[in-house]
Amino acid sequence: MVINIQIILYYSSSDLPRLLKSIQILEVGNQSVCFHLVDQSENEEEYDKVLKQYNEIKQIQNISIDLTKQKNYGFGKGHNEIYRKNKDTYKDFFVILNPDSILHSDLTTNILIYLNQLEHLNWGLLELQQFPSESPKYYNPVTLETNWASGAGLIVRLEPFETIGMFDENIFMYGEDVDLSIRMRMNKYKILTLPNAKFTHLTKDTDVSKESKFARVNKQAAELYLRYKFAKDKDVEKYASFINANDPDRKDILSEFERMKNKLNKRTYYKNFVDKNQDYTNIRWTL
Amino acid sequence: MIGKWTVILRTQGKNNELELKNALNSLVAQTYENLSVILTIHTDNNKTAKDTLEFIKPFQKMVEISPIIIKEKQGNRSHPLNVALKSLNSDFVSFLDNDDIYYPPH
Repeated sequence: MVINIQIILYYSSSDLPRLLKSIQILEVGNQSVCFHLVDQSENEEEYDKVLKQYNEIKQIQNISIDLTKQKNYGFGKGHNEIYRKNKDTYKDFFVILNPDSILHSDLTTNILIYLNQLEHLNWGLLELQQFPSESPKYYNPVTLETNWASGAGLIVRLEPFETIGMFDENIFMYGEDVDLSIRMRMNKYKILTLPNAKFTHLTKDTDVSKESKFARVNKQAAELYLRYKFAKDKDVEKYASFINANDPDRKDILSEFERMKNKLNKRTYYKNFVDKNQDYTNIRWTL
Repeated sequence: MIGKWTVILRTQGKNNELELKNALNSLVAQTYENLSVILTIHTDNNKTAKDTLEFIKPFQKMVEISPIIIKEKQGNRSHPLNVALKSLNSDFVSFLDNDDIYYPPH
């Protein structure tokens, strides 16, 4: 079995050296690991920097790394594209990682231990544990079940991923992981957090006051879109009422929401599908 | 060139590798570029010292780590820090115990 890991780069040349160093000290043993690095910067100068760093990587036994580039499709569609190109070589699952990551040397070993233990469980997504700050949401410490899995570090099982129609390509960035999680649960696939499969995530946006306009607009638009897609109009209106009329980003948020909304073919009311005994509340996604 | 920062990382007695791993992973993730680590291994147990030296090897490929094994004055927690400070060649210094971590922009 090969562990395939997809990483989208977007002006990531400052983060890449440490990620590549950590790949080189990964304890893989006899396990084969294949990294698919895909640059979406659409900038030759940036790609040259990435290529130079890539060319400095030494041969590592059982680890292969390929580097390609593609259009800037955003997060979900970008990963769908990488998946489509490589899926013939995938078996059972693949991993998605952010470029601002440093792998812990025992990451793949721990992933395999979990996968063996979870063999008979109907899982769709397994979330890797972020270090030093965990993703700010609840998971059950006994069953490891959680409401949604962050796309920063994620194991995706192939069969459920295909069944639910992969990532929603209407979403450019932010919220696509929540959307994928909701659709997994609607289809009765479980989502678990793996506390011992850790990677360092050098997250830059934990302080919302320093959040970029791009991040804020896209996150808020996704909040509206996901409510539109899975909930009722009153839920959309309620969330929209939190965005102040004088908010300088309001126009852009609503316009991005409209763009996504117009592309959506079908709304699905989540309460008709999901387990009513499950808790659907957390900090980021509340219905 | 930014000034050199050394972190004196202290371990004592029988090491807990899980804790030390978290401490080292947090140092590897520091955004400050000119960083090195002095690891004080304060133990009179030769096996513990040997295991620790083996354990830090992968991390030494990510960040400069100079280990110092200190056998005397067991139980005196300041002693290894003083030993490390004497070998210091750095503009800034900070301390970290093996059961603590720094956040990346520390």
